[in-house]
Amino acid sequence: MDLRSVAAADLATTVEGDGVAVIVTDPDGASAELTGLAADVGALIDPETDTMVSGRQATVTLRVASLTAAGMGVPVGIAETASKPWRITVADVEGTTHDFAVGRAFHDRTIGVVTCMLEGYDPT
Amino acid sequence: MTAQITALMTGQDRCEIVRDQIAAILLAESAEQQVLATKGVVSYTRAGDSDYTARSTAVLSQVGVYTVTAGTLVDGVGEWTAEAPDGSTDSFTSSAADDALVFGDLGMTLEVTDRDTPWQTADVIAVTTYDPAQWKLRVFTERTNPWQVWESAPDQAHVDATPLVSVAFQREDFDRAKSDTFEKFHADARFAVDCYGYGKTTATVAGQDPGDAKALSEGLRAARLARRILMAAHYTRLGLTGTVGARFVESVDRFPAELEERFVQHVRAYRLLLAVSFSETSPQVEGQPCEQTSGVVRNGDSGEVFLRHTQAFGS
Repeated sequence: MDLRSVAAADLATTVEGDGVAVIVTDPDGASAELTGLAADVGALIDPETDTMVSGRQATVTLRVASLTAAGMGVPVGIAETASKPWRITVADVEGTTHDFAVGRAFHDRTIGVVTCMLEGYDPT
Repeated sequence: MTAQITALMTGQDRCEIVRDQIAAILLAESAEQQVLATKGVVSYTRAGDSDYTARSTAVLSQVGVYTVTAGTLVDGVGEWTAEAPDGSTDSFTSSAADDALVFGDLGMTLEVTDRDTPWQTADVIAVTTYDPAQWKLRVFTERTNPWQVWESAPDQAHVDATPLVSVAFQREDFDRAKSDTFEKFHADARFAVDCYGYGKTTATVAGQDPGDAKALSEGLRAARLARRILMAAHYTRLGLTGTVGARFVESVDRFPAELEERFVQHVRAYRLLLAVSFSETSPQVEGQPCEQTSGVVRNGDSGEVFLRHTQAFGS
């Protein structure tokens, strides 16, 4: 087994071993429930002053191989208004479900993972 | 001196008074404009020589143009109809030339005045109404992060999504040439009027209404309202005639990008730098006549010389 295959196997354990349920919906409305890492924090570091400031930042990290296996593409941020955004539904630790849109996505093709920066989304 | 020390500890400097006045003007004008928006703007297309005027006296229930058209009206008497923005219509009967025009189903009353030559057949009156929320601002003073209320990413229609304005004193420079030595000091002060807009991405039938674009639009709208209100001729002296000499918006800057990196809550902010000229004052001493002053000089046992000085003032 080459080094990259070892890393991919480790990734499956890291991202999905202790992950949470994440529902991914693409712009066409197709959705799949995957397992991934989710974070939702309310404290950020101001890059100019290195001080802690309030501000909410939520992310989910998914394995691209799992997305592909579920028949999904890789989420991206969509700017145009004529298209629905990629949507993420995930529950917090209290069990409250939150709807998000993918604002940006960082696709790491080396290790096969995508981290989505999430923004508030009103699906109604 | 006790009175003077109290004066030092109480009250506000002019820069604080002006700061609070700026916030008060923005808040009051925002509220006033919301009320006016609900009343609508009346315009006419008159036939013949009719010279009436009318104004809306009720809160109109829809945003858009209400069009009142003549039916069989002759010299103010007859039947009228009106069409609301949603296309619904209402009719009424006017039995006298000086009747107010009441459209109950539309929630609208037009008060008619100056009826020397009353309503004529084919007169058309249009009442344009606006969304009062377009004039709504929430105003703060000296707050560093009022936008934290958006951390939960509330829906756009939620009251907390209203644009925020925070007024803060920045600095004041004193001009020696325009000041006197004793009491008045000419000050050129800068106030930061920070305008924050919030947006949440919303699903639409066609696709999406992006939150970042909405935040930009809301922030700009707040900045536009603040600048227009503060630079309106009505507020040349910021309502403090005798204190404020001039005010001027020196710049409108977009906030640094890091504010926009709070990704769940899209926030865009603009800073208006408002320069205001006024005079600061210093506490003055009210003099009292000194009726007597005396001193006793004596030598101490050690050879040191002591002075005992007393002054007597009138009661």
